Amino acid sequence: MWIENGRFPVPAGATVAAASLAALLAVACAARAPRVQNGSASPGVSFSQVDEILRESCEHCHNADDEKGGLLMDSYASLVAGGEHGNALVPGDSAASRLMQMIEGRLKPRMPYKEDPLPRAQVELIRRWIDEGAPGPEATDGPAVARREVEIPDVKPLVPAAGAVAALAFDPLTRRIAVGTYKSVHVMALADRTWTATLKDHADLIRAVAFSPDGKRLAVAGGSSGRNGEIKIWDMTAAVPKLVSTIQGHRDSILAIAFSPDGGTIASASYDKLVKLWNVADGKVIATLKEHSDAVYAVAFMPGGTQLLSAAGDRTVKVWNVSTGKRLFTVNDSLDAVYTAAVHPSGRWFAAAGADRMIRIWAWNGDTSSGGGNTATLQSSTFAHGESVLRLAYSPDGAILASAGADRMIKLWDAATLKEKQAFEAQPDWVMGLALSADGKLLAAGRYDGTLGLYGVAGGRSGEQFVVPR
Amino acid sequence: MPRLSRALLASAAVVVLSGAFGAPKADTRDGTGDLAILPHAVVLRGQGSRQQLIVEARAGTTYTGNRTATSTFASSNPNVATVDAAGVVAAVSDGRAIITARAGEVSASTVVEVERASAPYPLTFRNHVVPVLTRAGCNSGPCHGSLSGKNGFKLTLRGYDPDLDYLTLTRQAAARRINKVEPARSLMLLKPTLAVSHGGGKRFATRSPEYGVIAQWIAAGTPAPADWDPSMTRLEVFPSAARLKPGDEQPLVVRAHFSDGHAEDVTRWVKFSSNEGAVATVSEDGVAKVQGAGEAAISAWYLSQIVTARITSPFPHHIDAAAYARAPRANFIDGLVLTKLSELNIEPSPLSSDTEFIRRAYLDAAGILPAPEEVRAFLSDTSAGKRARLIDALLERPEFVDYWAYKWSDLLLVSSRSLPSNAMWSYYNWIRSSVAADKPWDQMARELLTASGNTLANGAANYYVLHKNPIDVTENVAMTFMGFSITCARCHNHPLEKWTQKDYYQMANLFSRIAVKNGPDRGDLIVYPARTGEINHPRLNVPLAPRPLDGPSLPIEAETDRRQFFAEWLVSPDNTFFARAVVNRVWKNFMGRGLVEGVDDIRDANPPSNPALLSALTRDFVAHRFEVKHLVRTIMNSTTYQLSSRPTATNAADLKYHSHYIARRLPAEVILDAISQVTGVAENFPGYPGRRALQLPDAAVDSYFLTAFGRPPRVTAADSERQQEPSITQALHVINGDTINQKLAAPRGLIQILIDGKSDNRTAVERIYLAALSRHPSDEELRTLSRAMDDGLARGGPDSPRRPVLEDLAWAVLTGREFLFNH
Repeated sequence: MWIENGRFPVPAGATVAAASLAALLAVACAARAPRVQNGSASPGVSFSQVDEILRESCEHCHNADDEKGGLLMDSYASLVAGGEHGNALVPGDSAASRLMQMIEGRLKPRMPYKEDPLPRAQVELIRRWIDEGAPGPEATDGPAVARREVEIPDVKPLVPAAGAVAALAFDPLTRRIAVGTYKSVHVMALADRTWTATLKDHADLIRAVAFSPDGKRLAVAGGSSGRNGEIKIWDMTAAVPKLVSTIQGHRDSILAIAFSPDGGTIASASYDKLVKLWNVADGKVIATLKEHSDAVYAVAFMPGGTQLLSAAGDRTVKVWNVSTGKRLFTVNDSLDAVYTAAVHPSGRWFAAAGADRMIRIWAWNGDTSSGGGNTATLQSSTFAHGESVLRLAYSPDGAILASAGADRMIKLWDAATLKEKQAFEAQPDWVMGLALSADGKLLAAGRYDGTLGLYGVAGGRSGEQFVVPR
Repeated sequence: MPRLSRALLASAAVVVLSGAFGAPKADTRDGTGDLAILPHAVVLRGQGSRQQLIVEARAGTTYTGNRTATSTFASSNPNVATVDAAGVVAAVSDGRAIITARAGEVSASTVVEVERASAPYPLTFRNHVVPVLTRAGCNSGPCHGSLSGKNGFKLTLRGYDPDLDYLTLTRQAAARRINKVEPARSLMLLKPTLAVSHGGGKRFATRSPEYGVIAQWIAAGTPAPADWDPSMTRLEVFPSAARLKPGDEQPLVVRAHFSDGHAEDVTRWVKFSSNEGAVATVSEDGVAKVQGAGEAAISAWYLSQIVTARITSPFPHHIDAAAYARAPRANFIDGLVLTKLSELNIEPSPLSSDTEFIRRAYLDAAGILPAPEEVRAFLSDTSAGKRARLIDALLERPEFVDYWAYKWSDLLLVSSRSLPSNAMWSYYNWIRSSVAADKPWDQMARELLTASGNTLANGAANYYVLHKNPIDVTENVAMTFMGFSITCARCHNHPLEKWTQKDYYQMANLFSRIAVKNGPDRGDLIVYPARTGEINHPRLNVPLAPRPLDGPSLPIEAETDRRQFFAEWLVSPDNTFFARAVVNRVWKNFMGRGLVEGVDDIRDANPPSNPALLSALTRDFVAHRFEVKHLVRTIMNSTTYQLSSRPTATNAADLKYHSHYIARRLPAEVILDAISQVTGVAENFPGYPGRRALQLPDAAVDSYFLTAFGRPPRVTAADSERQQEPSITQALHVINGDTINQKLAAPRGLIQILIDGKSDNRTAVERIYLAALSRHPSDEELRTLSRAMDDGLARGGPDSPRRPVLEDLAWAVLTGREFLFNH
């Protein structure tokens, strides 16, 4: 069943219920088979053997977060690519390989840095592997095996499991709403509240959806936590939406996206601390905005499209010049992580909120005719929720600011005065997706438990409830 | 010995046992030969439940060595429960099986009952997932348990707040950490297995029990911590005690019992530690290894509860059993000490001499030296019971009051640094008059903690001037009157003890209604109980019902003085914390070491060197209405106290079990008073003319000598404030400093009397020895010193004065260890 190193077998579709995981794991201990290399007399060293050492002893510094010495050791490709000091490997020549020199201490500092040296057997294994030409995983472990994916056991939920509804978007005509959940986006026709389409095959939980300003495209963002971000762009003009393109980028999942007002650019914010601007037409990166020191949770364009703001776990909101990619200014008023931000339709104010439970509104200083000046001043603030504020959204007419919190509350505020206008019924779980329709009449709430609520902005406290399809 | 392969290493299964199981007569059933199998009775509840069994050799009721690895195991019914070669029993189907372990000619068996084997026992976040995070180090201080978390992910330190950790893991940071639909793709599993790069490195493997618990919990729909989660009611360790020898290894198994009646083998999730690494160490997975002779307590911490296993490793001496039988027993202390000594093969020293005893008793009980005439009278008394009579007389002396008033003033922090002079006096006078009146300890504590009124009229009320807020009072009360620190629990559950943050703030809320306002006079304040006031639990943001640690709680709306409620609980005879703490402090005063050392570090993980003795002393103290003087008398009359400080050939290594009196440097104040007493030249403390050091009310009195010798500043109640370590400053000050030399040079006092009396050498030596060392010089000492004095005089010429020689003689005695130490 299992082969050396705990890698999972690949019988396609084989699943094991978690209930019998215990038994499975017990069997695994007994059933470890020795590795045999293509029946050759003297088996070569496989990359996976080396990789296990790298993962245990090297990768906690040479990873995407740290990248010590500019060297990543989280894949064969990155190892071959080397670091800022040059090649780590000279295939076939271990003596000339920096990797070898440093783990042996011939080149200082000896690696692993400030830890015990690698055991002699491991050093010899790596030496043999390099001298055998440092073959990659395709050569030694088989081509179909995507690195590390194979190690993930198949554990099935024992109870019905619904992905969180963390991403919502109304189309510009308020005819439909796109509802993101685990790997899929479901589209509901608002006229009769029926599910009309499903956009499938996204990487993981969908964390942001956005209609292009003309309503023709839907951008769907997410990606795999700790691995990479993904944006899929769908053509929504046909009855059956069509995948237009897939953008891969970032080193962690994308948490927020926004279309520029002209629809030509998408901004993405990721847990990898970066904001990226993408050309929608060709999927290429236009700019990478690097100044946040923690996960970036929100991103929004100013109405003029020349400026962009981003909000992050580093307690800041930063405002960027879109054409130069330079930061214009930072506001530091928040006392804790900022999870959400929204720009007033007039472009004169922006709001942000997060873990300090407060909503703050800043006003641009100076000339706002072009969409904003180069600084902003905190104009008003209020304690909004009993727990973190997770989402904010302005109504299209700019009169109302809606907020959702980890206290399971949704509230409407007078956007000018920050006075509370209304609180909706208590929510069954955290509200992770929030949207106001373009006609200003509907508010949609997506929850961690996989349900969707639709509320009338001018209506009562209660709303319509939907279980989002799986 | 190879480490046991743990049940849980091989399986992610949760092992379930029942405490409610109608136990077979364990002692008869497993009493075959000299082998025992532990636990005595096992109930496995739920699919895949497992329990590691331990096989022990047994002599009488004492476990004497692990036989698990050399035993063969068999199940009477493998269709119900299987057992593997390592002694792991696993549930198969409902029913009952007998597991037999055989080692050579002997065997032992235990009954295993399996129930509900068709479904896995439901895992809870609180009782299963948090312990995994703790075991894997995820929520440790350097990792995600740090105040700022790591890489945006912050857990509560060692899992003290499961509710918060649950939200953090499931929902916070855009719900990135758990994948409900495909559990194995949860970041919470990908990171620690290094399927995704992780700054903290690899924490566990995909086939580990850790992985299994988390995966199973996610697959079950990440059930949240709930009020109705089973709570742990009891933690057990097997074996709870064993007598072993250096080199032996003893695997320990820890079982937790829960309120729903199930029990599980939690060994893998326990944090183990040893209180005495020189005797026994313990590995992360609970294998104790004996390193030397003595006793060690191996603590097992799990879900904020602690249980200890005692490892006894007797010294490799051959002590005749008659040595213990012969040893004199004056009261219950001696029997209990001798029992412990015989368990450890430590021989008691012989009784001290009369000269040793009288000096020791005076210094320990009253901080003074016996006068030469008192020494002479005592030595010439040949009647029976003279030591007991000396003790009785000593306890009635005013110096006894000085000494204990000073000691409690240290503990209660009397100082003009923190109180105006008149208030400081008022506080001190309350303490001193309490000691003089033989006020029982419970009454003193009650008066202090419920004090109200003007601080100048009621000195005790100054306690609440010193400790102004509920946090201060809570932490001080715990240390002063219960002998432990609960400060850790202010911010998070105590990492290695049972106190939780909730315990802390419930206790703190007992002190949230104390108010202080200005009184009529300068320095006078009025302490009074306020009608309102609460302290909030910092995370829950609400006040909790006032409750003293593990006592009953007071309804939050009750209008009684909460301090009164606390004081009643504190001094209740049922509250062993209270009496035990002061008994331990008094014991240390006389014996040089607390039965629990240190005296303010009484914790489950730091057990007494002689638990039976501490219990007996505590019971006796309570039975005698908390009278400190009774306790003092009991200790001083014991043979244990009166043993010589000279070790025997085999007991020199013992500084813990009281096989001999522990010689130790005298406290700063006692040395200074003794120097004054011997030289006959009093110390003149600024502002306190005519007072000895031990009569000072205030720790802030300027004195280089007292500071150099470690007088405590009385800032905190910690015993460590008093510095007993030797220093160069002390040595230089004794040898060259002003204190001794000025007293010797004074134109009055002992030296002047010797000059005026034209004492000969012999008389001078006798006089100084009796005064300083409470003994006559030996003939040898007399000869040597007399010759040295003659030489000194001869070198000075015919008319040379005697003073320099006499000063040198006294200096030599006063700077010697025999003088500076109690022994």
